[in-house]
Amino acid sequence: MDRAEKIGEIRKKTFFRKGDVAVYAAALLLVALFTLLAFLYRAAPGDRFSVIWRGETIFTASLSEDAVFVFTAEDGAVRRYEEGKAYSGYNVIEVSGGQVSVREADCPDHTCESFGAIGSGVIVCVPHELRIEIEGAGVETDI
Amino acid sequence: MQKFAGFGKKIRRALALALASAGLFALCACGQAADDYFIEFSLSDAVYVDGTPLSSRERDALEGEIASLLRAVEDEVSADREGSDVSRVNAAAAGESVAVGEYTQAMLRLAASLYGQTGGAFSPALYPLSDLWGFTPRFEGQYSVPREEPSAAALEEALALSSFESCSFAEGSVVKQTDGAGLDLGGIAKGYMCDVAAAYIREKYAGHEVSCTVTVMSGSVLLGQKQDDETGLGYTASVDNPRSAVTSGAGAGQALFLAGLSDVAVSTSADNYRFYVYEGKIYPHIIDPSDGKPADNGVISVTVLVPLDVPYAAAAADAYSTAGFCMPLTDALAFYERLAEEQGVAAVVITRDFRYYVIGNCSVYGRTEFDGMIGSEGYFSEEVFARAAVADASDDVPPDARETEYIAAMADRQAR
Repeated sequence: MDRAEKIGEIRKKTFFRKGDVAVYAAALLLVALFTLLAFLYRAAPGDRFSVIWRGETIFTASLSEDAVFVFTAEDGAVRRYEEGKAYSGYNVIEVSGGQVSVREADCPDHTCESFGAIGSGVIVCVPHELRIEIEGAGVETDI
Repeated sequence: MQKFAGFGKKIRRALALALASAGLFALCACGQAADDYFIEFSLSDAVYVDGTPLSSRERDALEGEIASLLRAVEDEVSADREGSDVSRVNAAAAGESVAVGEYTQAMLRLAASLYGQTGGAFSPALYPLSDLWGFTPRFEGQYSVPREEPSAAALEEALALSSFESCSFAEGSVVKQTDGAGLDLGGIAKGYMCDVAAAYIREKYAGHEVSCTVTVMSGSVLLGQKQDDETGLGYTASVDNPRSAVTSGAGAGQALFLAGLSDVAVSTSADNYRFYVYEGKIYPHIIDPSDGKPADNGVISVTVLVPLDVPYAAAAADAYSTAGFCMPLTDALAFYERLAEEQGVAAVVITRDFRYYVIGNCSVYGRTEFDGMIGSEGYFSEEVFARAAVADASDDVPPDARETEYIAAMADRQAR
């Protein structure tokens, strides 16, 4: 094969040969499958959550009881939320259906709200130095 | 080109088939119906034979074999299952001879021996009392309903029916001496199942050193030495925190840690499973054979370790932990001290004044201590229970403030 023939061969090549489509489809399906599995095999939901402020657990409550709490950064305390009352430097923590979420907050970035309602894992509010943690399995032992 | 297209088609078909089956397999795995068997059995992920881990296929096969073996045991001995030996005995009339299978026979022999060793503090004949207090299967779903104590007359009657002599056993059959008497092997069932599983593993790999753990509910058998032991702590165990509802912070479910374990059976009895609260008092499902009432000695959790060279070590651990629950505190501690001398048993007893006592040769660590040992420093913010000296123990165990808080919280939860 001379040089010209080689160039011709290369020019003829396209991105998609029919066989390639199958490979891409397979890759996509695998991604979809693993995503699905990741959702199905989520960590077992916890039954309590803790509010940790500046590294210290300041509050803990059950996830089985629907309730609304409010954290205030001024005194680092969590109380029952009172509808209509004006708060500043706060995060409203809502427990509903075994999940916890930050319903609203006046922190600058509102990242905590974007975590949504969680049944396992953590919600973090950096400006208020706040973490909401769901009780996990604890320290691992053999039995 | 044509040839390639054909090849592509083949690949596509093969891939489609592979993916479809993978998808189907995944769906089957997720949708697997939970069977109606009560036992929760688990085998450790790692099973070592002569220091070499089994392949996951071999391990899963072993797990399947043990699971079906344990179901066969449960079919015979569970009071929760219709048609089981125990259910048939309990439904039988006085004088009727009920033929029972080999597992039931083995458990009855074991139960009789453990009844003797515990001085009657463990008994397999307490079914009438359990029923009176509402802890038998017909009350399922209502165990936690607050209820008045039964009348003194009813208690006396059930206590008489629950005497160990009320059932006699010979030649593969059980005969009840009185109508209404009954068996409840729940006090040694989880331990016996661990023993059956351990015996099966030992037999299957006879002549080899096996290292793995088998757990049936709150009973376990730790076979051999811990392999691939990165922390150098041997097998470790955590004692569940029976008061996690009033414990704040991360890992509230763990109270204490045991380390340096090998070739040992472990069993825990605690008052936070099948219980109810009535007028500020906890009524656990563990019945004290001496007065026929739910155990009330200020003990909230007992963990017992029995070396595997003791025959039926796990069943023994199970009966010993139940028995200690039904003794005044100082008697329980003395009982475990005697067992420590005779059989190398160790025990951890947690009381409602939020103290714990350690008897025998075992390394018990508090939460923060263990935290430091495994290098997860700072995970636990506080201790829950404080260690106390056995010599300082008294039968009068006043509740800690957290105990009062716990009882109130449970009463509140159960009232709803």
